[in-house]
Amino acid sequence: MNGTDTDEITAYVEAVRAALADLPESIRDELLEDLPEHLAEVSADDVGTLTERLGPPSVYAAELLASAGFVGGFPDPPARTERLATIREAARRRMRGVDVMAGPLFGCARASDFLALLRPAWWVLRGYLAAMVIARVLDDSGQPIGLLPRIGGSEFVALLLLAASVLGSIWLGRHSLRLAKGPRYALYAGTAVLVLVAIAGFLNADSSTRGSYYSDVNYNDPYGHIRDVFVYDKQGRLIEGARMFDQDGQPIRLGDPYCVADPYSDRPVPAPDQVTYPYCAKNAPLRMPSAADDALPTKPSTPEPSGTAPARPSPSAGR
Amino acid sequence: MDTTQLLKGVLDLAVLAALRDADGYGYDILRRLRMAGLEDVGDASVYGTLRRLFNAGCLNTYVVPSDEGPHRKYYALNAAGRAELERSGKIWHEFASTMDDLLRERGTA
Repeated sequence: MNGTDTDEITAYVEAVRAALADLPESIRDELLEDLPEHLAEVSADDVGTLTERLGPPSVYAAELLASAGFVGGFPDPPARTERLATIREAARRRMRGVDVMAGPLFGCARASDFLALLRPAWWVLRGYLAAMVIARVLDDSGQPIGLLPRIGGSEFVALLLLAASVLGSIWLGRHSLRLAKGPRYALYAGTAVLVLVAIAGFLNADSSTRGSYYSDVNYNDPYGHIRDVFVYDKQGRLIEGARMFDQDGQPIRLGDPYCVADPYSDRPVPAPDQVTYPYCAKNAPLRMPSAADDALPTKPSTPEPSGTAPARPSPSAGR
Repeated sequence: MDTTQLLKGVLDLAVLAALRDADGYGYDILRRLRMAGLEDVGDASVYGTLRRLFNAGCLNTYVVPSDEGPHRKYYALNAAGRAELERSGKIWHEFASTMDDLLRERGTA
């Protein structure tokens, strides 16, 4: 090897390096690390210039890049995204299978076809949920909102807000595919919040509709503090075993039957329609000695002291 | 059909096979491949393939000082390289015999 060779090699390597200018420097340096020694072997072996034997440096660089790929450092991140993409593709394929399999259940080729039919219904529901959230945020009247998006207890405002919100939601539904990425993701995030609100609201409404016997203390309920009810007749005599009904014949339940459901006896808690008042006659707030004595004969239906009676006989004071 | 197109797919296997019996430096490996009959194989392709196989962990390298000329970087198959050679070789044999069968059927039809 003589000086001319070295110069030629250096020039050739530099030309290859220039042709690989697009590569990150560290990768390019690593790729070309051994090239001078390698070319020295090539030029020592045979006659002719390097360009004659190997072709122009730009072609050599292209061939090198094609065979070496992105060496060093680089391959890791692409490999990982590739693996993620593979997993995602597999999941998508499985979803498609389930989609097609479940289709006949809905009378469609695919289950997603049926879900697409439900889309406008979801837009309306979404509008309602959005209106409820807006009302909850804006309303500061302190009154219960109910199931309409009332602001300050006004039905008119509620219907107006509901209409605007539903129309807006429908418009959004029709245009969501044309939105840019940012707004679309914002829409998805908002939808997720609405779904959570809807679930919370549904559970809340469900539990208040069931009207549990020991319902939560409602601070707006003027009867919330009541633990027992004492009924007196015109003469001021306490009536025991009274039953109370509303205009629909539904038993009125008030208070806490702790006296009846004695935890130390096996007497069961009376069924809701078997409840009689007062629960604890001995706690009567008003008791005139004479009236109380007179009242004694009028309560033939006082329960037997033995705790075995499953329910009280119907008192005459009921219906 | 162009041999260079075929070579692209099997260059890894060819380089691994060229190193099976003896370690070699870049130009040495190129000569082995050409002597074996792969005359179209390009110098840059061999050099690039060696770099990639080395980065993939299939090859070890060591430098041998030389009296005339530069130090030579020798490449040697390691365990991963031998496993890869065996695996790729099997794939190649299956592929080649499939192609042979295919050509024979068409030829006799």
